[in-house]
Amino acid sequence: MRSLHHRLAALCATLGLALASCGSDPDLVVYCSLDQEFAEPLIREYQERSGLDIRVEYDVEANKNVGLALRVREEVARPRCDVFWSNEFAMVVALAEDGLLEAYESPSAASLPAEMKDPDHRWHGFAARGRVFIVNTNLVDPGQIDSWDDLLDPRHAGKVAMARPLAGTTLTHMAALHEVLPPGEARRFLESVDRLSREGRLNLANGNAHVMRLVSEGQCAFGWTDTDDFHVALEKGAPVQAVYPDQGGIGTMLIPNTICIPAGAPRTEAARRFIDWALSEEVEARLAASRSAQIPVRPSVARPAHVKAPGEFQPMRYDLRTVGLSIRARAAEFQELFLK
Amino acid sequence: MSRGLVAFAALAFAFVALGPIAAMASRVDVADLAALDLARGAGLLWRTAQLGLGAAAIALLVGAPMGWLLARAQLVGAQALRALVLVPLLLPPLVLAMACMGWTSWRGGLATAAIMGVGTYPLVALYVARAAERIDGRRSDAARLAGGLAAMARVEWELVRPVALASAGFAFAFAVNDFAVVDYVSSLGPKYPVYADDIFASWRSGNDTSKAVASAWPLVALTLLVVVPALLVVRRSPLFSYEGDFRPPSRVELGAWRWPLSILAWAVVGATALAPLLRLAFEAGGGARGFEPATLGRSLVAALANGRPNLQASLLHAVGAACLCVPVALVLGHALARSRRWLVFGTALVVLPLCVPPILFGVGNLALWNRPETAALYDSAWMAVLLQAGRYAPLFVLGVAAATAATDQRIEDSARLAGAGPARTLCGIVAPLLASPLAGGAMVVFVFALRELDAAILVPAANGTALFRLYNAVHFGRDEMVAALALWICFFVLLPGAVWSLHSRRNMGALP
Amino acid sequence: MTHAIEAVGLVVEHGGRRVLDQASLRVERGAWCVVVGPSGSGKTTLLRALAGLQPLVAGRIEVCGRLASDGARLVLPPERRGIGLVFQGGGAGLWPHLRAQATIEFVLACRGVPRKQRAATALRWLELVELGPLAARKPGELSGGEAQRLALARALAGEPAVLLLDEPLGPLDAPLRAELVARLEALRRERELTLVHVTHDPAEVGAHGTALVRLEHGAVVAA
Repeated sequence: MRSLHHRLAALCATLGLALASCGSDPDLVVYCSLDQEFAEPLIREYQERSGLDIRVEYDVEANKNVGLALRVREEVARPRCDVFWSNEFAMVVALAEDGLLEAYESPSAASLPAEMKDPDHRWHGFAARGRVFIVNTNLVDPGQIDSWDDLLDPRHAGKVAMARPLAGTTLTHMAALHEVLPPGEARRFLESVDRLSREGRLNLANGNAHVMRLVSEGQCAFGWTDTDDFHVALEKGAPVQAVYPDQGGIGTMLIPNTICIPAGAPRTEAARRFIDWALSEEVEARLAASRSAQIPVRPSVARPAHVKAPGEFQPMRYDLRTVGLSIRARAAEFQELFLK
Repeated sequence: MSRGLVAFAALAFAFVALGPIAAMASRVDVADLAALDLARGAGLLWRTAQLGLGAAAIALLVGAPMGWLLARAQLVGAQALRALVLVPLLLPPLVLAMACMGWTSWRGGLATAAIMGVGTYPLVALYVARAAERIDGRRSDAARLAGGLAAMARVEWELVRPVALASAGFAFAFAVNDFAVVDYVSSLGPKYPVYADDIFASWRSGNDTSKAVASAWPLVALTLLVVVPALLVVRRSPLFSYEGDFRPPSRVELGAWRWPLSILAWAVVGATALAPLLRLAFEAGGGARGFEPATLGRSLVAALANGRPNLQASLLHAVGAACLCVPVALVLGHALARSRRWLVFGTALVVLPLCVPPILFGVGNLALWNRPETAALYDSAWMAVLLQAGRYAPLFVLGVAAATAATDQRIEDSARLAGAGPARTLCGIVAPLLASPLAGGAMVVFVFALRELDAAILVPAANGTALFRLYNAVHFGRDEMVAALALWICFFVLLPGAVWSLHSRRNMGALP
Repeated sequence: MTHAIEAVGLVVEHGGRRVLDQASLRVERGAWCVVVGPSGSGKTTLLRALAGLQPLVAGRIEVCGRLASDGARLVLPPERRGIGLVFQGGGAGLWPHLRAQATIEFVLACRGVPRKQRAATALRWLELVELGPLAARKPGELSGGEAQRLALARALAGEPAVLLLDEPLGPLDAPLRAELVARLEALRRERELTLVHVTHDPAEVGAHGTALVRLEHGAVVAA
């Protein structure tokens, strides 16, 4: 009995030490909602190069971006994060407008287009994803599809998909449509989407990656997704093609990554060095060359042939800040429409 | 029981399990409560309740006969069946849904209810099996003498019915609080929005904690309304006690029905437990592009190499949470079972962390612990342990309470009269007596902590787990590595139960 | 002279029903008090109340001159009353995870008997009830009569001043019953042990009983 007690005490002590050792203090804490698969090798490389002990905390796909944005918000009394690398911009704009970000004018940001930068230098946009139609070429001719309202076409009933616009890039995309389309048109579009989805004529997937899978596997003919998802399908050999919609119309939406320093970040100097690195042309080129095929926002950045340059297609013109500021109201509006 | 011990355990429970809920509730803006769209919410809640009822009905229809057969009949391969029947309950629900959807193109509300039912029928089977094992044999024998097997079955059903219905209530509670499975299954075909969707969307789309918490109360209330009475029913079911004058029931001879019923039971277990695992193995071995055992081996090795730190973190957090829960659950569960005054209120308080949507429980932890005074704790892996312990300690406490309620009070009275104080009685008599339920409770905490994702999202220390890695990797399709990592997670989730069932003479002894 | 038990006006309620209704009892030291009464008259509840296991609504209990219960207030917890109890039923309340010897050793440990002396002392108690050869068995491996004897040994091992017996001889056969009664009588005389013995059959105590108490509807009607 006594030896059992000793063993139990030893087990508890070992466990305690093991748990305590997991909480050592790093040189830099990065919250990163860019997919772990792409961000991890890059950041690991920077870690080796800089010699910094970097702790990276990733978000999960189900909460893409929002989990970390909420954490930045919740931790305002005791900030732990030094750099927030978001894979889109809306939540970052909201953080900036609420005074939760610190300004930093990175020298690496000089070459970024003006529309990708906050005038007050609280955030910077780089390496974008395009909102495209992924089309299964075995099921439909990509030439038949060219605009956002093709999703409502009765010819494709039951064979089209998009993510429910309650979060992520689809929410941002739909919010942007409300800014660029004539008044009422985007709302009518979403009402139709809701109606068709309840009738089983339009499939509302649980994310853009899921749309990609449904189309790749032939369960749907086409659907809205992000370019990084599309490239993964292509790489896996799925019979798919991307259609950059609304060329000649409102254009194809680009959603950049954004990077920022939360107000009161404990290790500002290391954070600034990290941001200088992340905004460099080298990192943008690496992201373009990666499986996620992010579209560089600087024309000067080298990219592989399958990654389009902004000049090769017509991007949607919209103001990141306006869309970012509208996101909460739009989210509530869409929630009422889709969740009833 | 010593008041000091109980007060200490209650305080620990209050800090770890109820503190986050209080911290979360303090975030609610009254204006958000007033602004709730009740008409829309009522529609969603009704649809959610329908889904829950469907899942509960399926769980009851499949689980009750399965549980009775496992406990009272000698099916072919009964030992293996008893272990395997638990598998669907232990697998992460989304992994189960993904595996099931890999086999069928059936979609919609009914399909969702069916998957929820498949995931939760082991609960009903467990409770029914446990109850059927505790029917006093003399009651069954008297019924059999009076009217044969039919009379016996009728009497036994009357005896286990409250427990069966109560456990179906637990299945209901699981189903109504889930949204990921519903969303996933209705990704094709008619969309099926549910109430938990709304809470999650409030939080996710607008970073609006107050609104999310405010909108959660109807679902919390609905869950409590079902779970608390169900727990009381389970506790008060007039069956038996562990020892004393109890005569275990004898095995029922199925005769010519033995093989057909065994095949049926194996078909159910095969479809719900083995098929999902086989599907994952199939995908880890190359899937539709061509399955090869060598590919499966390579995927497993690679997934273990890549995911090793994550698996280590998962295991460390889960073991830590399970160990932390043992003393608290022993003291609190025992006190709850032996208290008349605190039974209903205490049960409601204990069960509360399970009835709160997990994401909000995560918010509560963040609000409670992320402050300068507790910074060292918040930044260490202990935070992940506290989070998991807080969320799943209720299962453990309730398990211990149920087991205590089924033990003869005179056993403890004798110890007191022999001169043992409360602490000695607890350690020397109660704890060894409840060794199986304690081991079972620790296993439950371990397993649920290992598969936890939603509550852990917001807590940095809990972010490095294997399930996090899995969900991030799943984003780009279910390739070999993802399926292999899912298999590793399933392996560790199922490991304690497998070891237990191999070494335990009383298989169901660990169950409440 | 102080009494071993002095209980005055005991009231106990179960779900609104009065199980004990102003029951009073006085038992002298070294007495063998036999309590009889019809089923449901409150005999077991009386014993549990005396042991401190049953909360009172009203009343007062003194054990060997020390105040033990005063109304709803438990002044002395059960383990400090110096009372032993043998429950009704074949070995009910035995610790199923402990072997017979370990059961007695547990009691001895509670009394602070040094570890080295426990094994031998435990064996002596077991031999007293003729369970010496069965010391390695667990309660589940004992017959009803053996279990009951173990329960008796356990209660005696605590060396209580007062031993409460709730129909303790029921599961035993006639010769063993007579043997145990004789041993109890010897213990009573040697150690001035006080026995409060609930039974349906006062004849089983024979001539050893020194007092007879009759309970009806929760009240003592004859003492």
